[in-house]
Amino acid sequence: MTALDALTPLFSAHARAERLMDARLDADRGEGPLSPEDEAWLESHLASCPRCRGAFEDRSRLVQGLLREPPLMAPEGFADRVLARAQQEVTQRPAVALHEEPRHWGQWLMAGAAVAATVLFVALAGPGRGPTGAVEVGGAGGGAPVVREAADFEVRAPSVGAAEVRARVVRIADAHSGTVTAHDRVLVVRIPRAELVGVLQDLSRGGELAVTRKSTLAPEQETVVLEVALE
Amino acid sequence: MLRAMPEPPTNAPMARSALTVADERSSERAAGPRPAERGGASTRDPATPMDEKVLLERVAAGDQRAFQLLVERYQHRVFAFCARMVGDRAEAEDLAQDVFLTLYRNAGEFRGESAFSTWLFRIAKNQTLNRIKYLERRGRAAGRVPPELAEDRLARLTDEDALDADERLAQSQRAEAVQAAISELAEDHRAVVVLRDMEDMSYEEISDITGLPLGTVKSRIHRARSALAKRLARIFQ
Ligand SMILES: [Zn+2]
Repeated sequence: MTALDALTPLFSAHARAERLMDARLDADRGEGPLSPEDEAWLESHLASCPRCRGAFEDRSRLVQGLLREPPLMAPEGFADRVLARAQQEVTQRPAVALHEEPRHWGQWLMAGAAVAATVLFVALAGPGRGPTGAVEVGGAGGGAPVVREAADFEVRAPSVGAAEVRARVVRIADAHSGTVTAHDRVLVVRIPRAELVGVLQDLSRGGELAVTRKSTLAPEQETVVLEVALE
Repeated sequence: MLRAMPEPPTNAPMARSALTVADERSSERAAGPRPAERGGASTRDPATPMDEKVLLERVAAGDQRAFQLLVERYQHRVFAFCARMVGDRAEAEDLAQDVFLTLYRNAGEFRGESAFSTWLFRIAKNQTLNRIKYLERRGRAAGRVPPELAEDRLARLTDEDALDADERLAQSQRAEAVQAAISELAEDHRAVVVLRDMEDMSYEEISDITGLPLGTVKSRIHRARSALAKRLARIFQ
């Protein structure tokens, strides 16, 4: 038995304890109790492991401390200022207000909520997938999309309907050697990893489909699965 | 033809287990209302979503009074979320105004499939992340406020109730440390932990707001708490 073998069970015990700590803290706040086995296991691990005990105390103090922070309040007159702006819109409602100000493009993202398509990036489950790598496509305000590290995406289509989104996604997947299967209101798109950047650029081309959000994707993954939810 | 508008529910303070069990100080401290108390009623309140759907229908029909009720009910929660995300009071007010204006323009789009508050926070989350990107493109790193400014701003961000000078100073320093630690998180981690541990939303609601699977929400909150615990362990002794 190597030294590493000897340490492995210990590492995974700490890791398990770490996972269960949140569940325990959240159980007090309406997220349901731990299973009796997990509860007992955590209890006994905390009793025997000073490191995890300390971590648990820090964590529970943190959660209680954050909840206890005085809430931030909107400034005096906030509601009046909002109402005044709304009133102004009634009297001079701009025809294409949602597209005019690049600074406010979040507004047209929401404007299209009814026909919005959400693309969720689903990393394939598998062993050894660390959180790294991936891509983000930005630049909805025009110009070449900016591609950076990231993953899970949201595609919103303010000006096109679900059928149009579907047709476009199928066309784009086709062009990148991908496949699309439809499940009720969700399109599952499988593409080779190497095509990911191109697919995201195509999705966001022209600005009609805006790709936002990011998280992580394992770099070694060869097939990438996108879920497009047609709302 | 407009339906009669029901009175908004009175938001009676709700017991929060984390506070009532663990915080003997909270009852003495002149705290501002918690999310469920300062309007923006909890989505777990079964009476609320219907009322809000009716209010939104009225907003869509051009009823300013209905809009006013919704703004008044949710202004603090939306402002707080924006302020936590961007770490800047003026920017937060600007953002929060935009969130409500978006609500105003798109009231007719609400389908009632999720709670109104979920829909509103989805707008807030999207606009906040977009604003942060915009600010970063302009070379202004949102949420990374220089400490000397943060102190001043956060002293004002906190509730100005009748606290003695020492307690106010301690509170202001704690608020500054908390905001600095939150601002250090990546935006997507920041959003979920603020919604969970400061706005006291359920994992389910956060999943609805962010469009992320529950498992992803949990792992992000887990990682965010780990990072915050490291930075704030001393503060919350
Ligand atoms: Zn341990």
